[in-house]
Amino acid sequence: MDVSELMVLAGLAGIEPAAEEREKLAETLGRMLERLSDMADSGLSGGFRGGEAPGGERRTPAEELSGEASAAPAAGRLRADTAVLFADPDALLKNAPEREGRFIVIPNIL
Amino acid sequence: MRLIMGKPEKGKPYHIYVEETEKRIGAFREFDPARLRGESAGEGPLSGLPLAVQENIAVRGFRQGCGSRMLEGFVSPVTATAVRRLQDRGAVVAGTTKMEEFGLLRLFPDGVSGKEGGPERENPPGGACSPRDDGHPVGGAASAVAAGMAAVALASDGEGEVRRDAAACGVYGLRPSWGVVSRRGLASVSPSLETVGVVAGTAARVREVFRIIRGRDDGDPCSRDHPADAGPGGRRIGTYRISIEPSGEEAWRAALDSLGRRGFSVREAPPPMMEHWVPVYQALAAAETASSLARFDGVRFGRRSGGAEDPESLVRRARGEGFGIEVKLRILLGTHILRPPWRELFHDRAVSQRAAIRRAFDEYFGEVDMVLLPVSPPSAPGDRDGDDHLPGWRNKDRFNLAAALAGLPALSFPVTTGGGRPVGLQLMGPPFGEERLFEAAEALAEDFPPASPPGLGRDWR
Repeated sequence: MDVSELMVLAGLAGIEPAAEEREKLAETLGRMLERLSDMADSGLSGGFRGGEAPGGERRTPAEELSGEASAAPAAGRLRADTAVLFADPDALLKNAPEREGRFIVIPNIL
Repeated sequence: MRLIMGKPEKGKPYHIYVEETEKRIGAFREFDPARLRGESAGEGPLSGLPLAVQENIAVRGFRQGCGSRMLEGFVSPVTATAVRRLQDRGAVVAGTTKMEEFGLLRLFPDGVSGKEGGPERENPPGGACSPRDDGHPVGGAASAVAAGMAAVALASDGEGEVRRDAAACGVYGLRPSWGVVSRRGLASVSPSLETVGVVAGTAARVREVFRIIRGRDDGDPCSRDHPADAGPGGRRIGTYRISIEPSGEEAWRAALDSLGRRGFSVREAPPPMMEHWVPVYQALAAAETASSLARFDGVRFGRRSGGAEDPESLVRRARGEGFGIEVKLRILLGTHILRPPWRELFHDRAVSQRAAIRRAFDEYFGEVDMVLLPVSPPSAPGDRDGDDHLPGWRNKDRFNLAAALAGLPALSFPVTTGGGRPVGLQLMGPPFGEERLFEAAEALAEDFPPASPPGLGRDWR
């Protein structure tokens, strides 16, 4: 990966690497991706390749894998979609890096 | 409050002992046992037990900096469930401990620029704990326990931090089965891989604390109860032989002999798919890190750089200045492998391969009840298995990754032979198999008794 590719990626990631970091990051990322290519080419599969679901619906591997994306199958549960009041909102506001009264300051959007 | 209000073995009040020891060790980010003393139950099985909490686990009123400039000055408004459960049984938060930035292994030991000088870079454990054999500094949680400044510590384990640091310090470190300990309050970077782990001076103490903090928590939708009938029994131990340097080799042989004498059946049984552990872990961890750290944008909390003229540059600058290079590397890799067309090639295949690894472990634990592995073994001279994959990553470090990939419990324990430094080994079992790990570790402790840290009274061992 070269530095120009890295900067495109950094834009997507919302990061501005320091000038002196860019070459090292690009070189290391390139090496990591080479290693990961070996993984992708290894032929090992958990049996998920996308395709036809039992009901005839076509699914991507990502959709098929949605229940597998954790260390335990079928982990996780939903909770009620209700608002819960936080007891100490001032403690949250104190962590804002820049405030005006009870508002968090950001630069103008327009 | 026996310990905090009383006197440790050396006859010095606890806080004086810690202040003097801390000058050499530098384990704590903040040390203030009085701050939350009122939030601990006065009575209980852990009454007065000093608890250290790694600084990526929330403790109300303490800074939760995660070892990163990005969160410098962030004060937690809540307390993590695991900490709360210990407070309810009488434990007292003594302070928060230092860590590598977000718990990520350093990949650039030589550094790249002066910008990575966040607060975590002050972390000079030294003193009671030597630097790890791979050259990385030891986290403050294990250092505090080994030096007797805390009786127990909570810390996160994704890449094996709890076990590696415990091994380096000659104490015990547990990574529980995934989901068994609530992660509410943990600033997690890889939620499907990380757990809240326990560090203590004995296996019995680790077990006691684990039994208190485990179990379903409504604040963590992935948490679950620990099945009552899981765990104990099991005396069939598989091993995998690797080349390590002489002191490690001696400890390895001594542990095998000890297990044999105590009625365990030990046989060579390599765990499955070892060659896939590192790349699958790297792909998944990077993707999750990129996603998890997207919330750190310098707007609602965290570092903000001056001079940004629009919200987009505010975010880019805050993240560029706030994160160290190790974190940036993971975020960039994760961003790359989550975008089309690479997502299917890298991320989805890694998820698929992880499922294959997990199933292979299900079969493996039909043949043996647990597996004995090194933690982070020192390399033998001329060993070509040492440096691999990336700068800072050794092929041997893969032994710490399987538990994360398959959601397995793993317990590291010290083995000391011939008066030398302790060598860390680990036992890994099937999901919910913590009890059998404790049983085996306690049997081994008959031959390799844990060291007594100087600061704590023996009743806290």
